[in-house]
Amino acid sequence: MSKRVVITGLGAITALGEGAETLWQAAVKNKSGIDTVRVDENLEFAGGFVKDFDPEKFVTQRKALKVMARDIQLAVAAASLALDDADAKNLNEIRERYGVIVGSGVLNHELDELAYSIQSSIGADGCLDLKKFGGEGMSALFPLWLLKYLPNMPACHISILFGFEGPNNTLTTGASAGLQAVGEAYRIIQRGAADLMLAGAAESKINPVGMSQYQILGVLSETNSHDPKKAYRPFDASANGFVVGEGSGFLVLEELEHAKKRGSKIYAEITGFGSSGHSGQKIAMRAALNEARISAEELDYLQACGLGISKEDALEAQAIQNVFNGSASHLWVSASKPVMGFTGFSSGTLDLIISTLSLKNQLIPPTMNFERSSRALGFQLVKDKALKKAIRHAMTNAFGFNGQCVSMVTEAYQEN
Amino acid sequence: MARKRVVITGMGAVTPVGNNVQDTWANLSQGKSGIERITIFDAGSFPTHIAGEVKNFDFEKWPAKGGDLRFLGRNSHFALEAAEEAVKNAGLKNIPLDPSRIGLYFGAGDGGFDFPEYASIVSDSISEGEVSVNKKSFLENSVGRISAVSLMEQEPCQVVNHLAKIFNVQGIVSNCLTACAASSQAIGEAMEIIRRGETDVMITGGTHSMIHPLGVAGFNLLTALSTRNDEPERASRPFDKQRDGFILSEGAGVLILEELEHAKRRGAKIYAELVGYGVTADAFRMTDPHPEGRGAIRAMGLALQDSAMKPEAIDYINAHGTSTQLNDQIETHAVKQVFKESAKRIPISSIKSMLGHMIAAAGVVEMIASVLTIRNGLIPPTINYENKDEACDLDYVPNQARRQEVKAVLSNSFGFGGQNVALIVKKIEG
Repeated sequence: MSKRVVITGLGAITALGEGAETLWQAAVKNKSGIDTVRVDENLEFAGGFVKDFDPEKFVTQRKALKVMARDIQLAVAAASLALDDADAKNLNEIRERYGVIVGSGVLNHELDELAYSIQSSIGADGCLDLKKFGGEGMSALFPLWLLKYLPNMPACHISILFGFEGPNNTLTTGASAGLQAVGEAYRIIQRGAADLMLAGAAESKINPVGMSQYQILGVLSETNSHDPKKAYRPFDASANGFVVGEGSGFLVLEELEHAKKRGSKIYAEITGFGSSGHSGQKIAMRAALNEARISAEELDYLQACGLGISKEDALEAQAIQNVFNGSASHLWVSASKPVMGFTGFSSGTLDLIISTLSLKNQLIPPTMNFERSSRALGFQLVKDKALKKAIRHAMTNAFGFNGQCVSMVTEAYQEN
Repeated sequence: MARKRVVITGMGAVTPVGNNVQDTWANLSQGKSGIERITIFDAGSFPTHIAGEVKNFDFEKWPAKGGDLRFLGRNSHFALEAAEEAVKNAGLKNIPLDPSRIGLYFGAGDGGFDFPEYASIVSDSISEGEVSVNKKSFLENSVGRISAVSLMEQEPCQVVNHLAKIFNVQGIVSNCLTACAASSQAIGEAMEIIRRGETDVMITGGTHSMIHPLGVAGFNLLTALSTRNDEPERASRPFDKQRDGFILSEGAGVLILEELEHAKRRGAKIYAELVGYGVTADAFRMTDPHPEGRGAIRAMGLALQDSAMKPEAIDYINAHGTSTQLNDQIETHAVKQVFKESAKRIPISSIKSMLGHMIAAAGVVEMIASVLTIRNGLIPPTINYENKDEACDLDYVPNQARRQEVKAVLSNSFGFGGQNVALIVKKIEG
């Protein structure tokens, strides 16, 4: 018999500020953290930048901070907030039963950090001279440079900081990685391999390297210069790309009896997790519903992926129509990314944090900037203002524009 | 409901000593090294300019298929080739399968990164007389000169996108990247997915190539690599007193895991049964493993517990054995803690002595070697073992393969940041 798994802690750091509650309040009140971010005097772009982030508040060892890319610092911070929220930092438990799973990927290096090495390795022809780079060029980098950007470092730093010696994994499935991490953490507790798992992800791509990548992929909204807060418009007829956000979201998952024994507050129960490949939107949603043992009609609220790329939104809308097949008369759909921007690896976990708080507050946040769709969506999208509604079952989607597809069903917690 | 049993029914590999399982095994059992001077780029001035490259590989085969495959990183090339071999080896193509009952759990590393091109973009974005990069120029130059497909190939998730599409996988798709433990962890998690009944078949394994200027530079800066440049074939020497670091290598390995009854029903050839998986974190330091091997000991212990086997039932240990001072010493210590008096009796060898360290792909190739050890009754050696180290005092199967009946193998994989995975595979009974 597999164990029951509940959510007992939430931690978020986004453009809205610190804390899951801050994010939730913004989502409910249609408040966006997206602004014009000024890189230097001749470069600016629209983005959900985390302002006034003080990593030293979370990591006191300066030496440790030095080997953390900003993504890692954000991950550690949100993980710390989630543990605080779950009141799980100073438990006298054996840390061998506590684990970490992080959604991650290639972390962007800082441009100026490599620039000096590169500059001193350019040959007479203006190209990189590997002879020079292998000698003096490379030695201009600091010795632990590689460790600062390895994808598995967020999970390792978190395990070290909090002494979590249990299962430790790093999933690199693109934009769905964070939600996949929560799903696999759920599996680990289900099978009895851990009692408590920290799961989530962080991403920081509001830097020249990250922005160049999104520009190359052609996925950024082009209308972001006049009013950056209006540019990100999932499912809207005028949607033309996303606005990048920085963000980190972590959840504490706990085996139900473990949570009860220590009197944890329980936000919700995870009851279904579906994962499939690049075009597996329908399969992922159906698998999550099946595992949760609910029919499509029983789902009350869907936190859509809503990437804001019209082609991707159309695919998701079609998949939702197909799975819920017109019978979802009381299903309400919402997409919250315009509040914080598209936060990559962490986008699914931040959306899950919002849907978890929806379950707790019985309130569905609106889809910001949505006015009208170009064709019939086939479902009801919450717009303009939050919707008060009885919610028992919620689903959260994370469909990567290049990664895999993940859906999760959460349920308002009930004893039996 | 009792959990399902999981067996291995197909294998594929692309390694520095062979572009398929048969060639790889033949060379491993003959103690042949795949380490040579780096040819992928001019590494002559790097502190380390030797590595285990994949040789004579047909880099035109997969791109010729067109579509998304026109531009592939080395990691994708190797993964596709090894997966094709494994799927064929398992005979999966000849039977009707429900695609939603097939999953994919991989340990693919990050893909190709064209550092020279990137460097020239950075260099062109630094104005005359300036030291820092003009961010706006950098953005403009990048957009003009880097293609979307090459960028997507850098992300580890692209490998599983290719695999899922080509082999029509519609069940769970995941990829983990836990440094040097990745493909072992992928195998363990894939096994758990079949055990719980979610799928009947899993394609699992890993692929990686870090033999590029930034990879070699990064590991050189950490002083993790051997610098025995004048003797490439003798540079990787796990457990030898004169070891001076690991040798970077590349390649891929793929296993087809299958639920036992499913495999029996279709009359599949069953190589071995996977019976144990343990995963832990050291939670100690970023740079060093725990000095007492805390996490490693627990990973091995958990794998044994999971397999319901006693330590003395293990006939052979396939070591992580990287050839760094710390790893080999701590692994030896950890094995002694777990296996107690049996430790001296159980042969333990490191095929990294021949292959070098394939990073994310290391674990799966070591699992393939473990399976073939059981099948062939032949233990691959630790080559280059010449000088005894007082801290490493186990039976490392030095220099020559050994004929011996082996029924159960424990395989270790440890990674940077304190990741530990142990797997147990055994001869199929009944």
